[in-house]
Amino acid sequence: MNVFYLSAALFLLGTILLGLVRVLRGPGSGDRMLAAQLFGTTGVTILLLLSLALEESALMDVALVFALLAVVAAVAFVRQHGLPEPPDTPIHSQQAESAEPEEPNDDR
Amino acid sequence: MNGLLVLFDLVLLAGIVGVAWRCLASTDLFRAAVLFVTFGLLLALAWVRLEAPDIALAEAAIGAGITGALLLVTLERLRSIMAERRSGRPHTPPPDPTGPHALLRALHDPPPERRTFIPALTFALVVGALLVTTLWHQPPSMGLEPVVDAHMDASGVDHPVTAVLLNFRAYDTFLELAIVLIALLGAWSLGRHDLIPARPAPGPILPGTLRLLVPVAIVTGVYVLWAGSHAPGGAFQAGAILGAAGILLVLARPRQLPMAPGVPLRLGITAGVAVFLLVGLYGLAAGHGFLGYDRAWAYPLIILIEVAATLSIALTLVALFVAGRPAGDDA
Amino acid sequence: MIANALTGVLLLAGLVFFAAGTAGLLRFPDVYSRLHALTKADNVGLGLVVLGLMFQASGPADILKLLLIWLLVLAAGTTAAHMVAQRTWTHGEFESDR
Repeated sequence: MNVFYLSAALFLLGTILLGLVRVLRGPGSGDRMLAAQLFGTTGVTILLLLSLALEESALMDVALVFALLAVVAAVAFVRQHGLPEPPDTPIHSQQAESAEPEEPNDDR
Repeated sequence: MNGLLVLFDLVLLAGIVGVAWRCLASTDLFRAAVLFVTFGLLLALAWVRLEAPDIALAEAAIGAGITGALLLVTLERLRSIMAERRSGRPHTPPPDPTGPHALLRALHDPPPERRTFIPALTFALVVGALLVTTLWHQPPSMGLEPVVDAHMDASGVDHPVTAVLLNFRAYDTFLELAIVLIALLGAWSLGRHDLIPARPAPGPILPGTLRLLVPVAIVTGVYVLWAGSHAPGGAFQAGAILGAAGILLVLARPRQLPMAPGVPLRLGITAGVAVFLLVGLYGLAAGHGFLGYDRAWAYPLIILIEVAATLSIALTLVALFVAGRPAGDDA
Repeated sequence: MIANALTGVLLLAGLVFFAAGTAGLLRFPDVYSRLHALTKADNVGLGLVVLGLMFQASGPADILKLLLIWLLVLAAGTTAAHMVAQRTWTHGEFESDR
């Protein structure tokens, strides 16, 4: 079974390295952030598999901490620290449509 | 299975070196910040493979989470400051490699020149060769593990790492906490922050999720603190988790954040170093030497120090994130 | 024996979803569809892996810890995906490869 866990962990490590392409290329900042989010989840899975393969139960705690902290970077990306948006971002050039950007109402 | 482990390690090494290279060579600072977060994740996996789950915990909490948030928020702040300055000027200033606009241009810069490549490569090769030859000729030794294991029953805890950090080499941990405090003092000496305005999220998703995540983070932090006495964990990791919960609350504030009360905040931040110092002086007065513990009192004293240190580290991390001493109570 | 077989099957299914998530990350044309792909890996991929590892757990504490990890990643991943999509929507950084 250990061989199976390690092979799965190796495969997931490979997917992380492949996903780096999206971080390097992805044209917008959202692409890079979502790739980092996927790496966090894949990292949690690798840690769970390693905790069984290496028989170190503390790695489940490491996976738990990882799952918790993966969201901090994403929240920081989205909620910059409260300074007003700089005046030359596109959000200000959409003034013709409405004062606020429209958001879909169907998932509230 | 051994071969698979070696293959895993090699792929991980290639990933770490590759990510570090792309991060340092990146011309876009945001991409470099995201690559740094990825680097933290791969480094946590490396610590796991080096059989150091305590450090993996700390790396996951601080390296991948908090440092990532710090970098991203700083980057956005830089951009908006530069954009304000740029839009306020009536003329375009001449390009100045050290001026304030150099940072803005660094956000989208052409790649560095080739002239530095040869010296850098030579330096890396020389250092690498020195490392390899030195490590090759190390006499094989068990390290300090047998020595520590022989004294575990005198330490008051069940986990060798905690025993070393908080009993056998408590002096080092005490100085590390002092360094964290000095770092905060350095950051505070650079400026102060005003009242942080409310920034309600455009929707119920973020507040709802934080309502779920922050209590779980607090419980996990306390669990990691308690688990440090018999399993990987401890004050630094717990403090980092609680600090991350605090940073989440600062980032997603539906109402204006109250200005932190001056005296309790300062008491909390210095609690770690202060309690450590008091315990050390008590040990000196009781005849065990500075930071020496009586065998029966070792466990309670260690827990006391760890609780104070956790509080200090958590408050320090949030204060470093808010970045500026609270305005209005300068003595 | 049966537990090992179940774990193997569920792990393989989970890995398929992770592979699909990475493939979507690389091949889909724009941010929103990539988010769609990555949340499948988050939710279903990790869910199947956690379910498979539950059969190997050494006690109810481990089983509950695995469940907690999955629920946390679920909550965190969903929120992150939503917020990234919302920010891309409001800031107009939308670029499509098609």
